Amino acid sequence: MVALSVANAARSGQHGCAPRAATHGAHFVSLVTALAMLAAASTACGRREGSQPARSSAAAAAALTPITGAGVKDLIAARRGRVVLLNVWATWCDPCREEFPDLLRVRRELGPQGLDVVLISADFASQLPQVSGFLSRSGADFPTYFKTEKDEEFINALEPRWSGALPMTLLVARDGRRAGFWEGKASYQTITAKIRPLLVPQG
Amino acid sequence: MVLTTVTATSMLALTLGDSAPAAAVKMKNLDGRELAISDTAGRNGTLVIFSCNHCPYVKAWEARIAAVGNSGQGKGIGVIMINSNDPVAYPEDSFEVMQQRAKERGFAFPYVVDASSDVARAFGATRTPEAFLFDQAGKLVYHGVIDDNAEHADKVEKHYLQDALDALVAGKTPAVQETKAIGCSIKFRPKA
Repeated sequence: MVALSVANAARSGQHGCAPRAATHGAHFVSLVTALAMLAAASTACGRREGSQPARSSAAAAAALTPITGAGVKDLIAARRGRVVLLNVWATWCDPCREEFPDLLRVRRELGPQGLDVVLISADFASQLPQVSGFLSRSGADFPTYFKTEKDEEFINALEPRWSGALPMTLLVARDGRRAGFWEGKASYQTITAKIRPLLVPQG
Repeated sequence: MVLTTVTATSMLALTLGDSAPAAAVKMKNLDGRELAISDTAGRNGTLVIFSCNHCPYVKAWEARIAAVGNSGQGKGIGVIMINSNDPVAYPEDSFEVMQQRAKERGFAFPYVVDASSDVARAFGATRTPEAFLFDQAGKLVYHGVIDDNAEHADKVEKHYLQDALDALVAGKTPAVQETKAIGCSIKFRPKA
């Protein structure tokens, strides 16, 4: 039931715009208050995708939406025309936490040139309060996701080569082509070097 | 579809049918004695599990690892659990905590220190926990996770490792031979 609703949320949510996803997600994310959902929704949809991300000082509690592997595929498909960096992380994963500020920086700097960053927490459901806390402390003031599906289905839906180690990052080119995959932490320089060529407008 | 790997951070893991690499490498067991994978081989096969102490996935699965490992020992499967993590990165992965954890969880099998992390490298192991089960002939017949639900022991539907082990003891090929789960990446020691 959850998976179905989540897939629907992802499908109808199109560009990850928060209101619909948040509406569906609210049934499942009891810890995220309705107020926070509203705040996050207005932040996310008040701007066009790709415009400079809003850097609200009230960055606390952006929407945290459940997602399955099928939902991720839909979400990527809906972002055709943009470059997508998808990163699966967890609060207990040190390299993930170390990499996190660089991912937010990459998003800030390259978002205007066509990059979307999709962050998916693989934490256990019991850890969701920690996830929310970490996101707000990190200043992740845009909608992010958490995995609700069993590991194996999720792993294989995202990337069959993925062993399951975290963090895991995928790069998807504007035309939907899979342009990068790696396990483990990467530096700001490495990440941007991989993304920049993909941002060149297609002629 | 062209898949381009931009970095090769993940090593190639063993494939089914491979034998255990680095099987003669001696590693310190909980009792201080040196033990190699080949020393633990059982008459029905050998189970090698890469694990550690700090990882939440290990902790979630630990009681089940103890159960399946102990049951394997009783069925002629040699069992050895290996900690390849660098305790400099995670103090909780120290030898002392290994001893403590083995006592708490009642591991009836060896839990050894891969002091260079090279045994994990040789296996191409990437995360903890990660299990490799070899048959009587020393060929890999199962590689992957403990079961299909780390988070909720009461919601496990597929007891992959236990089923593979039971199949092996019954002289059969496991029905499911490769599985995956999210896990902590192995914190390899710097290469010497």
